Amino acid sequence: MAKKIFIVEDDEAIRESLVELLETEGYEVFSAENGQDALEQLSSGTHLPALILLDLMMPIKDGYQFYEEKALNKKIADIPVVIMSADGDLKRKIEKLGISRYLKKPVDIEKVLSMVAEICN
Amino acid sequence: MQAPAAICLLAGPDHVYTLMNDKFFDFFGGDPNFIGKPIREAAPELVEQGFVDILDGVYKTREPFIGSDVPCLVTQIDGTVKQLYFDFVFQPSFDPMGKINGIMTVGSDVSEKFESRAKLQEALKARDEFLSIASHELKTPVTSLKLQLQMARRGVKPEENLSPSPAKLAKVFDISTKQIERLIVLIDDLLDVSRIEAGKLSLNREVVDISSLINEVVDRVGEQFLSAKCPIEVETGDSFTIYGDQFRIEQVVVNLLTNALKYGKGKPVRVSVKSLPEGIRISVHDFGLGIAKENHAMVFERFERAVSHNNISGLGLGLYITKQIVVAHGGQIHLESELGKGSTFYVDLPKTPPS
Repeated sequence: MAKKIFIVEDDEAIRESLVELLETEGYEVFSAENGQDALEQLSSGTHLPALILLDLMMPIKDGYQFYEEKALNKKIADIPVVIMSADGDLKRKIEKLGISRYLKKPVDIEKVLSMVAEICN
Repeated sequence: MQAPAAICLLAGPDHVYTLMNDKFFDFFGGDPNFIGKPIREAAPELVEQGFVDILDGVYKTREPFIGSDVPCLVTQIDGTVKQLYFDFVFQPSFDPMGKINGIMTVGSDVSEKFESRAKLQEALKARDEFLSIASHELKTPVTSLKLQLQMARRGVKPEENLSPSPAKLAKVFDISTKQIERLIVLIDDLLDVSRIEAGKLSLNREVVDISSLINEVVDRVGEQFLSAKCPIEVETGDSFTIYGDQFRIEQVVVNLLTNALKYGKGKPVRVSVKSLPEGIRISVHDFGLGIAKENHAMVFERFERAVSHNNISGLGLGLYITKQIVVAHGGQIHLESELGKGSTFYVDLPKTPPS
């Protein structure tokens, strides 16, 4: 069965491109446009993703808030997260959160695919 | 001659005022009968601010106290209370037997330096925030562009004579063009700001028909607004002409409309023009988020916006540039708005340039 990937990204063009890229590679992909939308989808969903690709700067609920709330929810706390961000100080900021996997924007599709494959397989 | 510092000698464990210079008296005095009184009795306001605890500490430990930028509420001669900042030294003094017998306090008023440093820090913080926002805003279309091009490239396999379908390629080109247009807008805004900062915003004046200018802008952007369920209602009436820079005034109208779209998505936007005795007034009204009164002036500042960047994309430069263009024309911009009740921006432009 295809592995499920969850993309949380507010920019429509980036979100749709990533969905298309990962679907072409045979993954089952679903997406959310901000942290709030993502948490709602994850709480109501039955089949949880194998991986979350998470943007940080988003309206309504940003990536940091999403990550903190996810950690408090036992059902979804253990799903691995890969951060995608253009923040120049990204490494230091996400290390504080205990996240080590990240993709710097503008992302490289080969890096996206290899990181997704490494976590999912 | 007056020493630049406020100096005072306090005697004994109760810190009895023994000697003070005029400067000290100016800052902390007021009562000429200070001399001979312990500080707790003579200046209770200094007790409340913790200075007497520090003096007690110096007396007990025999170690001097050195403090920088220490905030201090000072009662002025006219009775008003002012927040000042001091660099202090509380130096213990000893008798010939080496026993502590008092404390000399020396304070320099560093309020001006402190405030200018605080302003500089604020400016540096605003610059850093702006750089972070600018980096995010510029990288977003670049990310999309790179994804599109790399994905299309993966589909091109020259050795097998294979390429993505024309429909797929058309989509790639359309999305890429849109992202490039987003980048151009951002770059233009950044260039405009640097032009304004260098005082090089020059105007190419000609006779401009504001009504047709507004109608042309609305024709150009109307579809984008409709797809965001934000129809533009236009009231231009007669022809109103001014002597101004066509391109820059177009930019003002586009910026105000774009702003209305950003903050008033899903609701109509009204743009109108009318004649004033000295010129014309362009109004752009939205029914969106609105702006709290205390933020009205701020929205025209560089890098500022009344809501968090996370909620609204853009560099936060649009209204700043808009205001600078209006001012360069000898005009004025102001807004009427209340939180939750939409906003109206008014641009008043003179018919002829100021002499």
